Amino acid sequence: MDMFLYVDNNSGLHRLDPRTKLIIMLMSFTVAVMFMNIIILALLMLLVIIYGGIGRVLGNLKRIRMVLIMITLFSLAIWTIARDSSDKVFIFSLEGLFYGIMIALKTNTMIIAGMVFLSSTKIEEISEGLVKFKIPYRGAFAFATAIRLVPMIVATSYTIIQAQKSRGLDLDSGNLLQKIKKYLPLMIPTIISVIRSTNIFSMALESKGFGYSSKRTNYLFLILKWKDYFMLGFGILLLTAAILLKTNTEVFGDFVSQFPWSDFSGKLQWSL
Amino acid sequence: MEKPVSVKKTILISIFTALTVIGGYIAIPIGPVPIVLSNFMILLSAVLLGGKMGSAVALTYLILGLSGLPVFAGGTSGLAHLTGPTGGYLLAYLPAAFTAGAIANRGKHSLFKYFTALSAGALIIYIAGIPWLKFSLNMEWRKAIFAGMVPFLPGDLIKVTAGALIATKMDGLIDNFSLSDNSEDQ
Repeated sequence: MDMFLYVDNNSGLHRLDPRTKLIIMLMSFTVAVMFMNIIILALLMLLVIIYGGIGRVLGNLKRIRMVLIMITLFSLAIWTIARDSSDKVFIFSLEGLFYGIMIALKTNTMIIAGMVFLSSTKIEEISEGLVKFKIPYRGAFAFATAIRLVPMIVATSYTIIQAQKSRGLDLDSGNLLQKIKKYLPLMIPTIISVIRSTNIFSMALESKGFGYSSKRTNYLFLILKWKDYFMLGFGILLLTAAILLKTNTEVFGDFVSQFPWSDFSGKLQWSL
Repeated sequence: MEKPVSVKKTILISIFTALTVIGGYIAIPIGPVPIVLSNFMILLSAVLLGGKMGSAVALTYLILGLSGLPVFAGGTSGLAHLTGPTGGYLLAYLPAAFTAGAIANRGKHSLFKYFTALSAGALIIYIAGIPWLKFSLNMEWRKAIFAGMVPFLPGDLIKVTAGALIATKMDGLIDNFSLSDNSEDQ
């Protein structure tokens, strides 16, 4: 489990304001959710990959490759079998296979967009960006702290498991129910151990004046620059074009009729 | 100056959100559909911390996922999960946590009360999740129930029982550790 995907580069993407990157990511999510068309989703994925390439963060694709591969295989296998269509041979259908490709493209595009965002934005930048979006500071603090606590809790549970094993607890033998019975009591010391740290954590925060004043100052000062406005403008332009394409039934219908195999929005009967 | 307990509450929300994130990665294979522990952790946090804080845990978890962090089941994230076939289950975490917390913290605590609270939370997740699954995939009701509920029932029964046992063992411990100095703020 690794949620810290950040790659320390000094690229144009890294220098963008976290709010700009968050909005661009949400725009890509919106376009991905709007369309059920293989060509459009493939183009969107290409754009997201180019965007990630600008930030030189595509090396992280290796780290999430298993998730991407599993989603692709799962989508192809499930939809080839589960999709109701007239071209079924035994239990498999070609329409289902193309539908699976569309779903895999849609899901993977969003995951890659998320990966690019996380690879180019520090957690404290995300947290500060959320505050700028008027999310209460405590909410943003909980957000950032939760991410930081994950490895600590995993390490605590590992230590507790090792301590119990060294006292002779055999966690490897037995069937599934017996294993669950053995692991269950280990959850309690793990949870208690992390809850105990709450006091220490809060004392440390209070000793540094956390929550003293409602007017908070930050080392990180976020300001939108011309590059951010340019990227936001470009993103809004693409999103508007996507919405116009989606809502203009005549233009979208013409496009779909050129590639009837690619679309599942119900405009036309699917055919190869 | 803000109440010190607010800091503790914020940290507790972070801790239980982190536990929920870890729960999303733990998949126990009991058949075609694995048991994922994120819903278990959300409901456990609700019965231990109360309905409001449980909902805050659920909300923080959903915001983490929406921000692109790989926190949903199997290390996935994004709007696809919130708007896709399983979105109903995820969004139901909010009312489920609130209800489970409200039931568990009303009157005297007992194993039966925790079991009822966790069962009610699990039920709310199904009540929101199954219609969402049905309409998003255009399935029949019967198919939606078989795909979105039946395979999960044995796992949920184990989770609810385990959650009730853990909550009973931990009864009062959180108050002692963290919230004892300002219980009226609860």
